[in-house]
Amino acid sequence: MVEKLRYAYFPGCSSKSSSIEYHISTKNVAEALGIELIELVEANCCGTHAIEDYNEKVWLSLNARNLSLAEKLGLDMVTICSSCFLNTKKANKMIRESSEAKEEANEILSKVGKAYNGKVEVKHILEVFVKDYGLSNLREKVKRELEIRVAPYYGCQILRPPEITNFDNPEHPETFEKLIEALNCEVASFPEKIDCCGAPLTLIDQKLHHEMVKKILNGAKKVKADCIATLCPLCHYALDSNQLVLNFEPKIPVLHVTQLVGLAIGLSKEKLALEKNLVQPTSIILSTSLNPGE
Amino acid sequence: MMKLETNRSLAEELKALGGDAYKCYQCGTCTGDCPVAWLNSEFNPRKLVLFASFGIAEPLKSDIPWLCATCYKCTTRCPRDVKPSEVLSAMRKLAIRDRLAEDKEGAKFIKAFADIVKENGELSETKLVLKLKGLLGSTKMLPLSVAWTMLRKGKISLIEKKSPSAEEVKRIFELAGGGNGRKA
Repeated sequence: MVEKLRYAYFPGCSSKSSSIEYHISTKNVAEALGIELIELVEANCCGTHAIEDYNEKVWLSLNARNLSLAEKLGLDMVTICSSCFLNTKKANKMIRESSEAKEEANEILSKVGKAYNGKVEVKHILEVFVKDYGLSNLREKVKRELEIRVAPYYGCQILRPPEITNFDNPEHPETFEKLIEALNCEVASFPEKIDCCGAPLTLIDQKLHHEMVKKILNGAKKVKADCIATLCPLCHYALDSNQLVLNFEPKIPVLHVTQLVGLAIGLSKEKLALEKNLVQPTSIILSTSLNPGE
Repeated sequence: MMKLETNRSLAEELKALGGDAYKCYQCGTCTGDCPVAWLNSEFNPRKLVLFASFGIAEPLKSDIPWLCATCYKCTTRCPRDVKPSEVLSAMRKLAIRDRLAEDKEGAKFIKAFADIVKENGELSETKLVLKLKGLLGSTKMLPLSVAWTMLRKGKISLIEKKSPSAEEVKRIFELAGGGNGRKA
């Protein structure tokens, strides 16, 4: 019997609003797999590059504060957002490698009754599925034949910069493909899988952002994917909502990684909050009723 | 052609804030692989790194450094370990500190983002869009039919809610100062 997997869970801001279905499906999939997620309800925004540019000291302290919450529980942290993943990992690395950064963060934390000693590992949910839970265990849980071609979209911040994310080969990543294969789906690999959707530019230059999104959607269309799977709420929102905004046709459903895993292990469309996706994965939803999985 | 002033101390200041423009041998890998440069030829990381190495201030007063999507492809592929995305971040940091680009969309975005997190502890996306674009501008960005669907699905929230972290986060902002350590 393997030891039960337990994590401090940091969903991030976007997964609690525009990508609420990511948060819901994560909790239900973890429960179904027997992974315990203890949500850090007191967590704050990771700040992303916006607050890093605004004031690096604030950015470092915000991330140290989140890490201190996980450290207090004695658990590693799991995030479902690539931006939270990168920012928390970057701050963690700074604190672990520079006594100056550690002191600077703790000086501020001490004034809000917190401390961080650098003991937490930060993981993305994809790593939890593939590395910690393990693909062979996951294969045993697969109950539904999905028979779909899935285009794995990595985006940027889970891959780069590699010395911080330490995730996979930044040019030719394969982790997501391995997961998709373990779920008995076909991989529709496309060269745009490591390109940027431009989500940070949404409010700065929307036209430019739209062009970046179109490149990725067209890439997935070219390889005849039945759906795109994403690892980040911001990538998901960019690829999902903009198909409506830009009247992109034919529509390609975009699933969060947790929705894909949940479908394969036989969870209901309600548990995966599929009705909240903007491009409705109609054929996939239909297959959940025709093929309940249990 | 406009004559550009070089400034050694500005170049040093940028270097201290991130990246190393001095190492650049102008191969252009950053620009050739940049998803923003593919679509907008005004955005040229190679040229921005060159300007940074000479301490040329013009880009700091422009829209350009804010168009970086922070995808880190340039930083991953640079053969000289210049970290062009960090050089651009250094430009933005200086522009914020010295209030050189306050009328630019990128600087306004960062200020609004920071203000909301300072107040709420986490980011309210709805509030950010409304704050930056206003009601009319928001409907131009997101057609009403899509906004309505999102509201119905609980993806947009018009109810102001603070994270339980809000008080401590506000304190952190006050302790660390405003934009790049400037007094809040």
